[in-house]
Amino acid sequence: MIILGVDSSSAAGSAAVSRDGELLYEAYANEGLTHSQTLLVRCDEALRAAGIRPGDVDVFAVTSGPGSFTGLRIGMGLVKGMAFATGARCAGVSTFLALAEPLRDSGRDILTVLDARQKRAYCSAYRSVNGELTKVMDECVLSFTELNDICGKTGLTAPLVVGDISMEVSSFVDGAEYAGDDLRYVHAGYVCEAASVMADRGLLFSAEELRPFYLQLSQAERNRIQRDQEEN
Amino acid sequence: MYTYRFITSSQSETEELGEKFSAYLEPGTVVAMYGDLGAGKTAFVRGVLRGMGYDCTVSSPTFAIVNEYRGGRLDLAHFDMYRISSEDELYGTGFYDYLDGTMTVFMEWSENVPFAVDEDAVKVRIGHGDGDIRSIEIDFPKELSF
Repeated sequence: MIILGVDSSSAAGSAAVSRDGELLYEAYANEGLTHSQTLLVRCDEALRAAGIRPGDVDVFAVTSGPGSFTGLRIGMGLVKGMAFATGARCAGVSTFLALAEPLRDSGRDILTVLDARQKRAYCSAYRSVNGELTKVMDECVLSFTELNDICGKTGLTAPLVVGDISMEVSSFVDGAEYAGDDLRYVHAGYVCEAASVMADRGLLFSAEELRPFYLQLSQAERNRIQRDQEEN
Repeated sequence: MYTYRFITSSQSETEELGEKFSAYLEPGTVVAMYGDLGAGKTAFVRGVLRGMGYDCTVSSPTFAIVNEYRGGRLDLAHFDMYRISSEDELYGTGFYDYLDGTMTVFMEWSENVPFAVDEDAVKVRIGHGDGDIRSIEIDFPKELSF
């Protein structure tokens, strides 16, 4: 199965091609240029370098959010357009999952955080067990000062922290460990890996069905209220 | 933060003030503007743009929400928050993508989006006086001399 993975959820942008779970090529840049000018060029570069024609791609995968509003729309629009043209299936990969994917085999708890401004984080968490990633915290928005409490209630143990504000956030959570500079931004190769797992589980969509997941603050707050009610 | 007070007696004087002020702006500066309808917020921004070398029509982006100006001394995004009332709506305009430090951002009707105004934002408050008289208060982190 051939997958073209694309990420433009943050300032960094990348495109990658994988075949049967093997990464063939990845083009990544964080040069500050707008994705609307560079993302398609990067897809073309990755496909050419891997010797794959667009019509041979089985799955077009894209980070579906949370992230930059404009960035998500560019990635989503591009992938929908390509998949619509070729009739291939699409995978919408959570930005959180794409960030946790490099740690799939770590055997650790993983806290994924993205900047929600004003000392707040969009968060989710995953647990790596035997090469499987299981989501253990629903997507929500938390102030930095609430993080430790919620991570404790979720049962996270010495989590590795990934995402754009991971360095800042790791000091707020007891036992948390900054996973390093490489894991602050999504790399499209991991979008391919996550999409490969989703394809095996039948979690693919048509171009028309694919939707962004903005995780707006109101939704994140509703998630949190619901969780608090379930706990009480 | 310093606070400066100016009095202008016509729209063209408000524009001139904006033009002088523009020399102090840098990429990434966010300017929150306050003032009622007809106070002269757009006139002030028009002056700022003229000071940056833009020679074009400038109007308030009431329905477009944002107008972008590129190619002058600085790239500038001119927002009108009149129709924005929540953080979700603001996110849906792409506002936060403009805060990457490359553009100067002006926000009319910042009254509507207090959650988007950081403590270190530059503030311009325009108040009505008699007739065409306006009082213009500028909060700025550095010294202004004009």
